[in-house]
Amino acid sequence: MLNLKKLFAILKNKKGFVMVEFAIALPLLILLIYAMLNLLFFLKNPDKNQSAENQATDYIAASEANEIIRRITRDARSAVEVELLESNYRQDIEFTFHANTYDNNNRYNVVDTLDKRRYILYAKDSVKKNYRVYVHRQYVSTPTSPITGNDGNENDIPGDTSVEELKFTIRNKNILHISLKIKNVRTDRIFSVNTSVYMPVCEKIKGF
Amino acid sequence: MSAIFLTMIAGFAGLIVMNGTKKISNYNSVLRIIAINLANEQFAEIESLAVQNNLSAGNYNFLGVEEDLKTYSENENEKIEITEFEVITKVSSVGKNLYKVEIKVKWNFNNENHYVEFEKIIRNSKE
Repeated sequence: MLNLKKLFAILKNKKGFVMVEFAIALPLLILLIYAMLNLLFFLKNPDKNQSAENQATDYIAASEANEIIRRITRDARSAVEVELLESNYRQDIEFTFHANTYDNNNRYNVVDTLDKRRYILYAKDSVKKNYRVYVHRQYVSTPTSPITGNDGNENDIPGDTSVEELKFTIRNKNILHISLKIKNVRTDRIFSVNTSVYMPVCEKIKGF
Repeated sequence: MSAIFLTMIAGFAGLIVMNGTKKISNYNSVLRIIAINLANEQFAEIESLAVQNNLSAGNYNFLGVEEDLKTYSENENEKIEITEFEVITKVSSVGKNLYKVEIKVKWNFNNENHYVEFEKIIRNSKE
């Protein structure tokens, strides 16, 4: 009962209560507004290398590099045979692995065959020269869809990347070392990612 | 009283947003992907040792290509070194011919230490 009376007394004296509220709220509100302005001005920073859009394109370049490496290591792990086909300015790699297909005599049966997959580096637009990694298809003369990126014609697509270098070497027995350099076309910055994969069932290595 | 609670919430929101500006201002994701691939490189070398029945408990150095430990950011004009990675490998025995391989890749960027950690169980091939 005593507490209730004191509470009513405080509530009646509303003038003083409001001043106390401002004394607590105002600094914290200033802190919140300062933080939000900081974030906003940081995002619209005109410095090219630090703006958020360019950092987002850096993330895209890194994830595309990761995608290329994941595909190649997945094929390398199951590869029975590896062949490196070298031309003037690039190296193409071809993996041969076990796959299944229908038996010609009896379509209900599944038999074992060998299938190949080749990764090539190609630039569709000769003016811009953005190299991309494609999976080679034997029945189509020009490559149609790359593993990463798109073949847009505009100059200002955010997130456009170009593969500068994709090189393969064989280290000790059955270890394939992949060296990839990917360029962020928007900021002209090149990242290099290197990794190795062990090929447990590989018997033939050609072209290295 | 509700005003005090509201201001406390506003204060915490301010702290969270201030923390957010710091997180945007690094390209840690690129370095993290490079570190994960370095760990895969070390795993590949250790798997090759295990197949030759040469894997034993202890600490190993980085067995891959030494130049992969340094990473650069290149423009056409200049090459800026971003950071150098350190790969720590610890192999311990967990059974007959079974080894647990723990790999930790450390790097330092903007005066902060970051790391990624992986472990795998690998079997020595019996001969």
